[in-house]
Amino acid sequence: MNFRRLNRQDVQVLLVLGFLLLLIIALYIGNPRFISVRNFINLCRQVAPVIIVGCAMSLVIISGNIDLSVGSTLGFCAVMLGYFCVWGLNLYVSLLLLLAIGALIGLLNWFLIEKLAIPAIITTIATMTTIRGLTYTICGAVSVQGQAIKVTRVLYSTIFFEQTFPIPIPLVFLLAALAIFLFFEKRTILGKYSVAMGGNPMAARLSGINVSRIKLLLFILTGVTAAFAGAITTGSMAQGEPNSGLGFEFEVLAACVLGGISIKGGEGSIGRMLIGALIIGVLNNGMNMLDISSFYQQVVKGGVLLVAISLYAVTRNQDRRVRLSRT
Amino acid sequence: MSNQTVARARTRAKLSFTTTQNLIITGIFILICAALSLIVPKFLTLRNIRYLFIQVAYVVISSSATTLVILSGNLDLSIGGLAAMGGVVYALLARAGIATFEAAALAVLISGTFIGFVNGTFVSRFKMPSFIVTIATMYIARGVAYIGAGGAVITADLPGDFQKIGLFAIGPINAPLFYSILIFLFIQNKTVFAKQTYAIGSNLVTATLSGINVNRVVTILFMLSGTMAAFNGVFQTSSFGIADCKIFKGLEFDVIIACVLGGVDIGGGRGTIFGTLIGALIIGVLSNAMNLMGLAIYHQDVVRGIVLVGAILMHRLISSRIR
Repeated sequence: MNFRRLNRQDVQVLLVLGFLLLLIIALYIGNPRFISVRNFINLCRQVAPVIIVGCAMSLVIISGNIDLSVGSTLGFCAVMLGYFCVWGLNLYVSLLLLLAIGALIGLLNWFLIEKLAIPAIITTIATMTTIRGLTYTICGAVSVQGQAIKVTRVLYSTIFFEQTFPIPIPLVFLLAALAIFLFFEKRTILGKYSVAMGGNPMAARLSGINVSRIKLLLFILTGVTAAFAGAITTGSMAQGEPNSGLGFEFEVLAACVLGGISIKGGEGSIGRMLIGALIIGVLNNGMNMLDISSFYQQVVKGGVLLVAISLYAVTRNQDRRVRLSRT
Repeated sequence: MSNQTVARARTRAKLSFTTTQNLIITGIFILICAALSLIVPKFLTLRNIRYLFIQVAYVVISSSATTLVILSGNLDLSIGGLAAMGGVVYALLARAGIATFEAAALAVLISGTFIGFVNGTFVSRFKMPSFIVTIATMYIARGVAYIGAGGAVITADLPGDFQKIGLFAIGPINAPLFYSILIFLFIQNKTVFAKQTYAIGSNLVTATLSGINVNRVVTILFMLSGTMAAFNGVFQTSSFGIADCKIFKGLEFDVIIACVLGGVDIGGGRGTIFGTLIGALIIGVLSNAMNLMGLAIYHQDVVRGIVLVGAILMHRLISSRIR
């Protein structure tokens, strides 16, 4: 294989994958229990919300938009699921209601962005603060508790495969979300249109893409995934915690950017977000295993993010140089 | 000659646009104050006005510098983290026995100016999106604050004059608030630096081609923003008398909300520090009145989001009417 045939994107993916691999090896050397069934379950549980929301968020970012309201949507839905259970609703009915709430929030975001033409970043900052405030108002800033919420544990438990190998349910959700969104990205026009919109919005509009409808779909999908992540969060604690999802939007963004999705839009894929999310998840999980306090984890996370984007900047510049020398 | 007239007319129109915008915002602010002083009985008392200035200081000190960053077409999301780090570093240095003012200056230099320099370098020289760079430094600074304070609050063994910086006041207005506004209004209205910032924000390519050292200007902007953020942290920590690693979460969003309320274009190139100041005051007055009416902090978030959307629509209306 000729190295020169690899284009910039391939080199970046290989570099990030290599980094992930190195990380896993280093953490395994640090603590052999890092690679064990038990820790695998933990890891799946920890990364599930980020990856599920990240799937939709990557498409949003690729299309040149941004959604900062996912953390608040997560918190709101976590609390609402708690209330639904306390009120005695069936778990599946309440899940459906939750997804409807997520879709409504997405619709609201889309309405403000598309119909009132407010920039996505300001719109979603506004909905972020409003929804968080609403969440605290509804539950009086204390978590919703009750025996009935124990039902949600099922979203966080494991199913045993032939009594030997446990499969965590968040992993099932995670894989399902990945499958659905990869289908959207690769097999429907949604993926292509997102890239087109992010690369050049005007050109996309002029070539007949219904930009407004694609945006609607993307924001609704983001809201729905965030709502689902909220359900998983409630399941993890068996209570509706209003503080859940604080800073979650940055976590998802970091995963996307770490994987190499350009924040300016028009470049990236869901697969690359997956790598980014795994790096963050493995880092957090591994540092827990090494008994490094969560305070240091933030510093390390920021450092890794800085290194990653410098790496992308360097490869991007090389690409530009090659193109310049050709012309 | 006709061209000149047109150009002159345009300049005048643009000038009057900013002025009109500022006048309208100020008018709205005064109206809100008048309405609140009628509805809320304790609103218009000297004691409450003093509280009000303490409340808004938290946003105003940072937003004066960060507005300039937004005017240049960048965003600084790290200011909340930098402020927390500044406060914690100040407390640690003061506890280690360094004199108050030296400790404060060191804390501001380490956690504000230096990290601001890192932000600026990555954004300007390596051409990375400021949005992401400052998220990364936000994590780092917040993490350092957590490590320094052990995830809690530093209260013990702080020297006696620890609160000296925070309690320094001119009448009802605390001094750092007063000076930061004055200094940045001066920078915005009287220096070439500010003109260059506006140029970069409105059109990066033109700014570069007309010989502005974009890298230097952007780096200095981020350094200013970081410095003011860390100073904000030191000031607040000093006035509370304790260093909390969790404070200033969401400061970056508060500043953006104040800017947007004040008519600053989030894409850069348009807006004034005066506008941001009024924006911050509007938010401050509203929260203060809601406090007086006995509403909890979290009710204010709901109002703030709605006010933000309303403000954008209002500014759109103003600009469409004037042109």
